[in-house]
Amino acid sequence: MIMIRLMLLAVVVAGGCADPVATVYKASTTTAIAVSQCYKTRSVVHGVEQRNAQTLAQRGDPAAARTAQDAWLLKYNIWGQVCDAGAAAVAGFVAQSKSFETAIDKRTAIAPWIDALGKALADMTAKIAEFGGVR
Amino acid sequence: MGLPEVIEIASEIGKGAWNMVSVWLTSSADTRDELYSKMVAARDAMMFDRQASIDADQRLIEETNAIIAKAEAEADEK
Repeated sequence: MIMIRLMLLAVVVAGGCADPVATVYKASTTTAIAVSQCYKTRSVVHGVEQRNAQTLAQRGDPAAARTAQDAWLLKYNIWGQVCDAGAAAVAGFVAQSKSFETAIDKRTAIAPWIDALGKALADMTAKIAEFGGVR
Repeated sequence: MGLPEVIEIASEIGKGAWNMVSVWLTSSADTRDELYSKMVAARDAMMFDRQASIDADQRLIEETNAIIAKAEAEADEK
């Protein structure tokens, strides 16, 4: 998790020597793709969990099905909050991105956004590792 | 070979190395405008994927809840 942030930071810092704005655009694109993957991975696990709950109900154990469903939806929502935070970081960055073109000190201007994008990537990766192999 | 020539060669080597690094880091074929367009497109695709996932997940939740509710009703009847 920390390694991912460090790697992203290293790429951005190193790339920033060449063109900090262009490099952070690439970092944002990478994060946007990771956010899409975050939702898609959650949907895949969600499908497995839903089929499990349905099977329990169809086998005549609705109480177990309800318990499984409730437990999963709790995780589903937590997972969603992490994906949403990543989406917000990307959307926020894109909305502000043109201001970096004219910033006097571009590296200082984009530094907080690099941290936000890196944190979003790390959090999403951790959540997929934590819940992705659930059950 | 005098000092000026050595400095000139070292400078050329340095510039070449820096150009290689720059190309590797920024994919020289991409201009900043192109990178911006790609970033916006990735953002839009991300938002589309988000909504599509949420909608599909919600339909599955409703389907599962209906199956559980049916099983609960059948259990209550017994």
